[in-house]
Amino acid sequence: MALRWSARGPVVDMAAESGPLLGMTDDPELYREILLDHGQHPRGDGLLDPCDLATEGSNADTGDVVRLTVRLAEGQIAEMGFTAEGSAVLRASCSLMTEALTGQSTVEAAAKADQFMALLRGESDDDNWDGLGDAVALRGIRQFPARVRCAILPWRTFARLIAQ
Amino acid sequence: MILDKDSLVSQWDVAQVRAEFPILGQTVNGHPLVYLDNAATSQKPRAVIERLDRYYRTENANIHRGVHALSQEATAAYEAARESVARFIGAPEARSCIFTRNATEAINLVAATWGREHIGAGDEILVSEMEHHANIVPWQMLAEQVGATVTVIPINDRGELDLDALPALLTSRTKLLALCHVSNSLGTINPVEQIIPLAKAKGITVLIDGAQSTAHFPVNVATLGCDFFVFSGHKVCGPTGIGVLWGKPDLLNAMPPYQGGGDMIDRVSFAGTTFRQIPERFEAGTPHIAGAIGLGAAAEYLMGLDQQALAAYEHELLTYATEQLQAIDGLQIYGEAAHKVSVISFTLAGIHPNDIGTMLDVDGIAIRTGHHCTMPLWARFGLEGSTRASFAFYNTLAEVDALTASLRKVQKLLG
Repeated sequence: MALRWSARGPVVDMAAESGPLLGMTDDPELYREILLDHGQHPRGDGLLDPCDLATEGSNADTGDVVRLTVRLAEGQIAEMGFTAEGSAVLRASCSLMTEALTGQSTVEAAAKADQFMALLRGESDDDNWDGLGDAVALRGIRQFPARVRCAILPWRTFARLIAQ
Repeated sequence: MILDKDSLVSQWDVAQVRAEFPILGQTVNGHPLVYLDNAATSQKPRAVIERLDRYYRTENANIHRGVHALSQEATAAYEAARESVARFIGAPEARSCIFTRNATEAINLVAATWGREHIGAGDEILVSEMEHHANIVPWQMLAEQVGATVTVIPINDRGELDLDALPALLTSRTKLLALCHVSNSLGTINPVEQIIPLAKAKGITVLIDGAQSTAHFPVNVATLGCDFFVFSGHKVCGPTGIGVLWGKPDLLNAMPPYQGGGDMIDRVSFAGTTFRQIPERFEAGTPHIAGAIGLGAAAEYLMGLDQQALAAYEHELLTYATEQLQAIDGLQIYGEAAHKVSVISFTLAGIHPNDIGTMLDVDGIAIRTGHHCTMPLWARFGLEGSTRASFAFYNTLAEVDALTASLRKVQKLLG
């Protein structure tokens, strides 16, 4: 991975990579495929009715809006459904989140949401993506600080829902 | 004006102009910077950067009332900048140019002072559907406070004002028309020369938001016949944090002060305080001295350019970019006014503007995405926002090609 300095700090030299934005870092082709797949064919697309939990989250700056519904069964997340108004990054992140968190207990899922947000914000020391499944494909978004909040929005919305 | 466009375009030495803007020489993400976000802020020529440097190195002092040499020098430079700014917008008197933080603050100043005195319950403030939030929200806040209403001039599908609807909107209750000279999102040049007399004939005060026009063509407030004109320094090659409110002198002097503090007073006692006349009346506290001086340098720089050749060149950029963008399948341009500046808003079918913006950035191309602070405008088109490329006189036809090539790449990947 070619790191260099730009006016905005260290960046991966995207010019050398074949898949800008949706797929970069160690294995650009793989990540690009995952993100394109989730961005264009999102899992969990559509709201659940009936559902046990429902909420909405938005970013005023980007205009992104996420609506999230959750079905619970014995303290576990049985199913998640969402609608996303926004970019491919937002849709892919929603889709990857529903994959990563479905089947988890609410406590585990909230911890994973926190783990993901810390990783994207660069607040994690060990860069540990274990347990987040294909959501690791979003790691490259960190090179685009303006887009981190798009990727984080669904996870932040979910974490706030569980905290309530 | 007889314009031989081809010869004027060839007269515009863009390489020579670009050499005056140091930032344009750098690479971003491994590519030469292609800066097409000029409607958000312009880049700065050497003349402005060096003037700021010289001020801080050799002239820095607080202005007014200082008896020492540096203070007098700084005061002279600050007031000379006001003279430059006055010539830049054709203001007959420099004192009628008030330095503010930006166009937004200038509009808020008028709303908080003139507006509070002259607009009351049941009155109407007329704006247009294409206004920047800065020319909507201050009037909504005022309307809320005094019980007035904000009325709106609609636009047509091409992004032009619906002039047929205008006469009925200029009612006996309309106290103010607040209108942008040029739309920041669409590039539309509004026919203010035609509109202002209609409003004035009905005794309506007129404020023109010149934040976008001043970057593209010379304006003359005296000829326009408006009452207030505002613009921001950073969009006309000047520093950030400095803007201008121009107003008719009698109107400004009759307005209550905006902020209280030093410099704006005549005499202060606990029994009561009297206020100075313009411009100090509206410049409380130590102003952005360097910013004003930098703006003066920017005004001088722009006035020193060949305006006809500049206009012809920007028109060429607009025409070429419009043709090239329209050739991309699924690309829809918003804003097709007969008269517009070199600003192009567009959507690309199925691809979110933020994804476009990020992927263009990877190619070193700076454009803007989102609502561009004109949410009501985009609601009218049933959109959340757009991707906007805005060109300045230092952009090149090759940069248009870089933009369209990068957009085709985005489309291949995400479309």
